[in-house]
Amino acid sequence: MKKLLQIAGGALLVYIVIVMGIAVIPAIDLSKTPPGPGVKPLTALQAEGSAVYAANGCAYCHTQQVRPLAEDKVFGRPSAPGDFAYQTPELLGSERTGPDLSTIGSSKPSDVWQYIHLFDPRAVVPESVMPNFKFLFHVVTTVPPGETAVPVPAAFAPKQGEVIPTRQAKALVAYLLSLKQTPMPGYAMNGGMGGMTSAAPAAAPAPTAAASGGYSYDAAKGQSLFMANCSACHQATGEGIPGAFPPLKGNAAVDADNPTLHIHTVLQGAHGVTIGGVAYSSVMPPFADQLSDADIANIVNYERSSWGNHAKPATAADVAAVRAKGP
Amino acid sequence: MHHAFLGPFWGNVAIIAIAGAITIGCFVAMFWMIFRPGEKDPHHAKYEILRKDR
Amino acid sequence: MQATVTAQHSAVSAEDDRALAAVFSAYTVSATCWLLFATAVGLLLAFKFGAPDFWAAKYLTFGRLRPIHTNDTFYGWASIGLVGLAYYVAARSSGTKLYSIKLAWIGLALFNLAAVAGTIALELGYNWGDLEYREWPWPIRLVFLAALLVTGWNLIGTVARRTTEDIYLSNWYTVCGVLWTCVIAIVATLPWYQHGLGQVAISGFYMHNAVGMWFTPLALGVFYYAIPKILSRPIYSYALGVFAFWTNLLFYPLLGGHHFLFSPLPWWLQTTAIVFSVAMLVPVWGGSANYLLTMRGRYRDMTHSYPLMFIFVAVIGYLFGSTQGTVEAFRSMQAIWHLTNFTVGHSHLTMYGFVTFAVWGGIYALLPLATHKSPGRLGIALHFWMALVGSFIYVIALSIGGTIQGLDWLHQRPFIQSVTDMAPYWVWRGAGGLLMFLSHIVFAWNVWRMTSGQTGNAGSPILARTEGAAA
Repeated sequence: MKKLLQIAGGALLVYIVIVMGIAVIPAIDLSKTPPGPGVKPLTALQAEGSAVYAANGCAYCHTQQVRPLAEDKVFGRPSAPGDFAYQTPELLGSERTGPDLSTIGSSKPSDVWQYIHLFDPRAVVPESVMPNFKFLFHVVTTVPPGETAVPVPAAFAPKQGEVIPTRQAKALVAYLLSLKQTPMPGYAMNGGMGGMTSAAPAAAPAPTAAASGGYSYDAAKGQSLFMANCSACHQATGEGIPGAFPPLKGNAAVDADNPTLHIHTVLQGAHGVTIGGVAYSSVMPPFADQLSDADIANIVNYERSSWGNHAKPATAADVAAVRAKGP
Repeated sequence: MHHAFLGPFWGNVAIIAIAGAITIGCFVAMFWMIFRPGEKDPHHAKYEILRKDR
Repeated sequence: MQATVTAQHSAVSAEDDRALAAVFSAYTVSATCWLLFATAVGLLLAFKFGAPDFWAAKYLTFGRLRPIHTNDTFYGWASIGLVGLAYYVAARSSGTKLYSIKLAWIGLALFNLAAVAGTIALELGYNWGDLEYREWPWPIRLVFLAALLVTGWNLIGTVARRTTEDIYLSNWYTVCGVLWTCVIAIVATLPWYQHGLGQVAISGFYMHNAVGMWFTPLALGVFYYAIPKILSRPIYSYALGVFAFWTNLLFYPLLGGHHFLFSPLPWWLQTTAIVFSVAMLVPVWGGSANYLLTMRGRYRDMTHSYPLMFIFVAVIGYLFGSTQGTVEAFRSMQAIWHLTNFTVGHSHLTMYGFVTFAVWGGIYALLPLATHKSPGRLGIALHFWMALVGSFIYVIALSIGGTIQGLDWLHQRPFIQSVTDMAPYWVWRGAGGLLMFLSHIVFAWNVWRMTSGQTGNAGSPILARTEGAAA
């Protein structure tokens, strides 16, 4: 009996000491981490959405932790301890089969996009392997007052009836749109759209003379940037989604010789605009903070020369000039 | 890589030195036991277990 | 010597033997049911990567089924299977009967109650956040804790009434494994001290300790008993086994933080996790060398002993899987592999290639001794080769795919490319998974023959020897 007590009791005691030191005490300490500047608790609806997120296991494919690595720049600045002050249960995740969602509220600020994507991810991202969440929606013959139908593209919409979100879907989208990063002193804002001023010079040199040269830009870079930042809404075909996201193909601002409005929209985003006689309620995020003048020139030139568009090319200097004028 | 996450240089050195010394010591002990298993006593538990159980 | 043997014989009656066999059989059958269920769910999950709209309804959505797959393989299959083996090993190696047959049955009921309740809760969307392997709501975790306490009490009681002088090494691992896991269950469950980042620290601790302080010690306990028994040869170095026990205890709990490198967890937690991931090579290499040196020169025995083959694969799985874990823990490696499917390959190499093969080897070697019934040679061979080839395909596909995924990120390609690049590897993973699942059906058939059905022609090597000696 003595031998057993020595081994089992000893091993148990050693383990308890180690666990206290490596897990319990640090956890008690870390639980007191104060919220970062501007980090706010979730509203009731957002908290409900966070529960929907956890119950349906979103965190098994989507992380909410941006690492201080170059490859994570697209998802925002590195996560700071204060970012998680109100996140219980923690949803940092351990796999990134789908993209990180730390800044999804600023990179995809349109609730319409979120609803369509949840209803059928392939309606907006053809290559997606995310399951559809149709069970979070109702299909009704007439839209009840106070509700708005989700403009699901015809190919993905139910044969009859209109799609409206359930309360769970609304809560989930409210939660997703709340996922933004706040500026954090000492943390390089290496992307994302948290609203911190970028490294790009605010006062760029004014463009000299006319753009030199012909239609030359980095086409491959332009396409890749377009696919990473724009195609989720405007689609790879440039045709957008009827009633939800405007087309770029044949779009008056894109196909105009003066690139100012086009560049301004990419830099500063847009909200509630009417294009081609159709009013769009969706929000387009601003890209001024995360893309350089050269990158934005590549994107707009890709758009101005694709899908049958033949507008005059823009230069990085043009972008700098529009940027200098501000929002 | 973000500086704040790496911690102070000497702090890291201290952890690595202490843990490294423990690790190397344990490796030496491990190889010692592999090359000199000993345990020749026929009543050692390792032989007892081979007799028919019960 | 003769006197003690007689004394031991008188301590255990044929009735006690039958009762122990019934307990061992029931745990094995119960574990097998969970294996079939949990891996059927796993196969469905693998299929969903190619057909995301297939069965996407509320109760069949990926995010609800995934924790069911992981929790039921952990707490249904592996836990129940290993506890059944631990009871048998404890009673036999201590030369005594089980402390309480009744407690063993109560424990089995509690384990199953926890797993059933956990599965239903996750199905209905009641979880405690997406916290890997601890998603069950806390009342269910308490049922699991009760099962552990009952098991610990019973194992300690059994070892305490041993007729041998020493406590055989296997029991060190199993008894302490159960006790440690009680601590883990309490630490993981208590909600009021872990919020936000504090909960992240516990997640890192839990993810690794629930594996390394529960499945690892119980599976190693099986090794230390089954390998010497099958080969009729003592463990190469008993002292090294003891040394591995203590180093495992000291190093393993410290390395959980390596699941959250580059996260805002404190730097010292991360650095400690990395350096002790290296220190873990001591118990892993020492332990593996010990098993392999015990088998040295006897590898030809494997050609006519599938139980030994299963255990050999498990030892190699332990060696490779754990060493891979150490490599993954370096910041430079993690920059590529962390958060990719490579980690899913790693978890299957360890939980399947090591733990699951160890359980199978233990069951094939020991269950026939208890029940006096054996599986057939064809059945055991089919099971072995399908499981081995299937898991090979599975792990290799996800290791290559996960690396490509990580490189896509590293080269800052559009994110969606890392998804499309994975497609062929997910297909291969599904193919491997299908073979693995089919092997489980054959395993279930073999368990049936070892417990209730007609006995087959592939007797345990230990049984063959004792019967040969008797004749």
